[in-house]
Amino acid sequence: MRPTTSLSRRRFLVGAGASLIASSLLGVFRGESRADGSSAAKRLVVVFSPNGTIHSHWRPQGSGASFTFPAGSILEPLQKHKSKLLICDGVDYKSVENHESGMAAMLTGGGDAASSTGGMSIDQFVASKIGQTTKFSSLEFGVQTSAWGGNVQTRMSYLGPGVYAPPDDSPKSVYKRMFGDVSGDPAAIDKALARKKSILDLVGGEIKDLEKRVGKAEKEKLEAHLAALHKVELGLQGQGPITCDAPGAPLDVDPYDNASFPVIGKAQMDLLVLSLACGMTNVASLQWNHTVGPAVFSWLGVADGHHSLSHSDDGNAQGVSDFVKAERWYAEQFSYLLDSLAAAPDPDGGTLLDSTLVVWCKELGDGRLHDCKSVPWVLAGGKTFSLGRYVDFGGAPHQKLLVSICQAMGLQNQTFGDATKGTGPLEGLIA
Amino acid sequence: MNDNSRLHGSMWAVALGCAAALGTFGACSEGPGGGSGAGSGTSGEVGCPDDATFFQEHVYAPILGQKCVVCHSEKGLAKGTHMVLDTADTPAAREANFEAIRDVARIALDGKSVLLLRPTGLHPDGHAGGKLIDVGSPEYKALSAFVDRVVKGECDAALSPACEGPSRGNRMLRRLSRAEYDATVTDLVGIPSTWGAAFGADTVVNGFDNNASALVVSPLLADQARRAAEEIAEAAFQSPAKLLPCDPATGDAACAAAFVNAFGKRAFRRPLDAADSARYMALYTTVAAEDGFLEGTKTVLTAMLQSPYFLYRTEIGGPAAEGVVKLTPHEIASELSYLFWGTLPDAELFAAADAGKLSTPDEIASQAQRLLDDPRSDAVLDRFVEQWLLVGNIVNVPKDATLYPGFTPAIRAAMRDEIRAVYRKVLRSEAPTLPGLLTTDKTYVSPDLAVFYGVSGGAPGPDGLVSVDLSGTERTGILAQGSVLATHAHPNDSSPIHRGKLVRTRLLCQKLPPPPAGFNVQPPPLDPTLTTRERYIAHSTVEPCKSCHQLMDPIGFGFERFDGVGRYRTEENGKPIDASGEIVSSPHSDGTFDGVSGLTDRLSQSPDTGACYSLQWLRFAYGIEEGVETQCLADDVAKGFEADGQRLDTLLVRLVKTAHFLERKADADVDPDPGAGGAGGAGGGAGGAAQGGSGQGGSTGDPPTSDLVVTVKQDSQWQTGYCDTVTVQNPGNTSVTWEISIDVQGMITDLWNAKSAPDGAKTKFVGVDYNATLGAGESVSFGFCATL
Repeated sequence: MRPTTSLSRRRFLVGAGASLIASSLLGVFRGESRADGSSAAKRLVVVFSPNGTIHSHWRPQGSGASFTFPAGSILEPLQKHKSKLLICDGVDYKSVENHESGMAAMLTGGGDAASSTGGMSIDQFVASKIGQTTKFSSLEFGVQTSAWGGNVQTRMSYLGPGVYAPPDDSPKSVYKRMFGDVSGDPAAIDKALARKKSILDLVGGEIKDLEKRVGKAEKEKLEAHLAALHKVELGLQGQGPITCDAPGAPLDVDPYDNASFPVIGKAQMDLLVLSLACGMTNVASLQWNHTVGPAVFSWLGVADGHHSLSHSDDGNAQGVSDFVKAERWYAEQFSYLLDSLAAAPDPDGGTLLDSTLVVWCKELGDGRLHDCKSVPWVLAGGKTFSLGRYVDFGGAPHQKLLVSICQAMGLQNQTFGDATKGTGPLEGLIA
Repeated sequence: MNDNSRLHGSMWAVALGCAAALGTFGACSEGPGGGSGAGSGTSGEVGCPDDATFFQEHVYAPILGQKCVVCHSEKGLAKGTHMVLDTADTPAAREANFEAIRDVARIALDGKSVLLLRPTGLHPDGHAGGKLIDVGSPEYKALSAFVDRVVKGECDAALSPACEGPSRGNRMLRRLSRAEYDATVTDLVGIPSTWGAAFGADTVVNGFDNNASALVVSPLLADQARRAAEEIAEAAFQSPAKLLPCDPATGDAACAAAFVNAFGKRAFRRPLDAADSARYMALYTTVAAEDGFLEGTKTVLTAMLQSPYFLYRTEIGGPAAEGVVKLTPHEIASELSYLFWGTLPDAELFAAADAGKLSTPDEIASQAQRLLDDPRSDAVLDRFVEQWLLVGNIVNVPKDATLYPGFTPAIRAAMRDEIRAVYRKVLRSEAPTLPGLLTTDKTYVSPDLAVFYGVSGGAPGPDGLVSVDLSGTERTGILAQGSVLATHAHPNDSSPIHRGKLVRTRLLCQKLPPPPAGFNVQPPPLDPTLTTRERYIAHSTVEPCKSCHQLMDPIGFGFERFDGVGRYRTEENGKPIDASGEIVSSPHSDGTFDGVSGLTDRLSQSPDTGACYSLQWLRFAYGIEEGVETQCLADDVAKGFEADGQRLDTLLVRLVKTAHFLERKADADVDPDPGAGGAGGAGGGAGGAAQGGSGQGGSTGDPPTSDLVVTVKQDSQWQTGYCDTVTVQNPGNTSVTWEISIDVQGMITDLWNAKSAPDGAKTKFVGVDYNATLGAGESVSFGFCATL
């Protein structure tokens, strides 16, 4: 565990000066979250885009280290990052099919309260292990995820069975959360933080008192409230050094204006990379829209909604072409995210991409058939896995992939989610 | 029960048969024989005398008839499974269903009935209809009690009795919804609040964003609410004189105390007790000592806006008596103010609560009428109609701007204003009935929207809206409004599917199964030579699509005289529109019709529509999801709505006259003396060893305690670890709470379906919530992985 430090946050701020990224000296204070250190990734980024794929337009040609992206195919925009990618084919969500179930199982592995991972999604599980020393244990970025409100279709991160960690769809709101407490005169900041903490203490006491007077279900609600406040408190204490000055605030756009989808997405990706580069969190997710998502890719000249397009039969050339166009756009965004991570130095040396495992997942395999077989997962970055490969896992349960991801993060668990579907890691990720 | 049977029939026992040819549904049918296992208790003699009644009241009406018949009927997707229900509302059908489900209940897999395994998603082969029932939920308990009856002859399972006496819900904490937060802050500190609107979206249940169970404080909300409280306090203290009961320049501790009590009472919607006051005065004193009076009072305000007593409406009530708690007058004042105005109580409600009134149904009803008559209730009516008909997204629903250039932000906003105006005005009219709403021939639109619709009226009224007489046109009734038509449509097309689904789920309260996996249901692509109906007709007439789409599309065809943004049309692609439609598989509503007006005529004559509408208000008003526990309450309200001639206004007043509005069930688990009693589990008797394990059962009844049979199977193994599955079987003839101790090599890293604790050199395992008890002959499996 990291040593606790009595240095106040403002000294880090002073030390950081106006530079965006911490000086290497500050790295001294980062501390390792895990005992082994070794090649484990220090950060996890999970990216989701909805409505499955059309495999014939997604699959690379070849196999192993010898593969190519066919011209016009969905993953072709990732060509420049080819050597940093691990493209996973043949990973199934066992006993799961359709939009809702796929969405729910995707990151939880179908776990429940009795599972070793307690029904958490992998981002929240990893955050519970390596997110205790940062301002945010995790950050959930969304792009038009919640026009339909929260439900099993629109949520992918779980704090426990049926308990969502909702994404923030507003770059403006995320920006305020990231930088709102750290500007101004250092002495005033310290005093304000102490005051905020005393309020949290008072409120926490009230919740505990209230717990004594309500039934079981409401107690659970209050326990979740307390846990949330605890995260706020950790954030205020700012255990990790916040090593950045605030950049300019993002544009204030309507978070649900369809035409602003790309602008919001870029703002969220920029903030996401900044949150990692600044040491505010080690775990972040980016959720594009949601399963059954109706986003209209009007900026590409596409007129129909993404979900409708995802059902285009092969005979419907226009529909298939529009869907592939949209999917290629998502690949371009993923490529931009990797570009940004590759351009940001890790305070401990190398780039963020070298020390961050980035995962792009989906809720369905073949969106047209509503099934969860060969769900396309693309892994990138980090040093654990042997990258630059396209691997077909031949129908392996995705619980094993989730275990592998945990192990790449330096964790020791051998199951993730529903252990009856599969235990242990995937073979062949580490060559 | 007889009184309720008609409503049960209309609400729940609807026959949504998906008439599929099963053979085409390889991927989604369970298939004959699926889930069969060693049958246990096949003797028809096991059972209880009132099993059939129990089945109808606790299993069929609230569960199977609602969640399962869609697929599990003779023509449904699951017609090839063991469970096929007869959807006719006849004694013979009820008898057949009882017998069929009794047979299913007796099919066991690893000692567990498939009636419990399938809908919970715990069956190894899954459940094609998805996970429908949570383990431990009231529905699960009802199914479980039925299994115990017909398998073990255990007849005394305690379930809520069938609608005897007044029905009350559970005590809840109702977190303010985002809209309620803003309205409350606005009234409390006197500055317009949009902070709540910027909070992350809450979980929506049945279309409503105020469900008490779903409204939690997530990490995101905790952070956003904390920041909002700081910003609100900052803004409010720009003009401290408006907030404080004294001159801010000369404020002292006495003034601060007065502020704490006065502001706190409105923020918490109840008088502060001595401990509350002391807590906030302590905060004030600490801060004021450093930074003075204003900073001290500002910090108090900041804290109060983060308090659970502000963020939640509590239902603590008074002392429990005979299992019932009576809500306090201040809690009832809040119930009233949030139900009708969506904000904190006004001065009159506070005064009534302070005076100890609001304790009789008449006093409450008269306050309710006052609040409803006041235009301040508009905001809540607006939210209801938008969430009921799922049109809240009209301002942002994606549309193809090339195809629909006239569908501007102003038109979208005008459509939202239209549905709000029509709902309010019908509810406040001389004939405020549901049929009146469904068939009204008046609308209120902005001049721009009138042009967009191609209708005309007089000069705009003070609200800027033109009153239009629509009699004789197709655009009559609330379902023919632009907001409904455009929201329930594709970005570049109308959508018979979405519009039909709207009627099924929101007007008739019927659940539809998800599209089955395994074959593509491509929405037919646009074709310049065909009408939408021609493109879609295959969906509802040709297998495999027909089985479910016949439930939606033929209703949606009735809307075809309106395009994807709600404009009227008589032809499409040069061909005349055929807007004939049909409702099937909804016994009280079935039949053909033409156009939206034909549909709404049919709907307004069906008791299904009335029962559904009153259920929607029940969900919205009480913040609950209907279930076994609220069945009687829902039935009472629905019957009252019918008796009142489906009056919209009196329904709302009726909602405050129920026992639920005044009282709650006391929580059995709120123990005033937590030291007393204790969970059992460690029963007497030495455990018998099996494969290195010892097990003992704490008998839930009398001795003898049986030995448990424990088998351990290694699932996987690697250099530094392994994973095992452990099966525990109860060979005895009584239920036991199982507990075993076995040798475990290495350290457990993962454990599922059980909990563990060290037991000397061994490791002790016990079950979790749903598998802690092992019935006679039953077995349970759990697993773990360990590192060496």
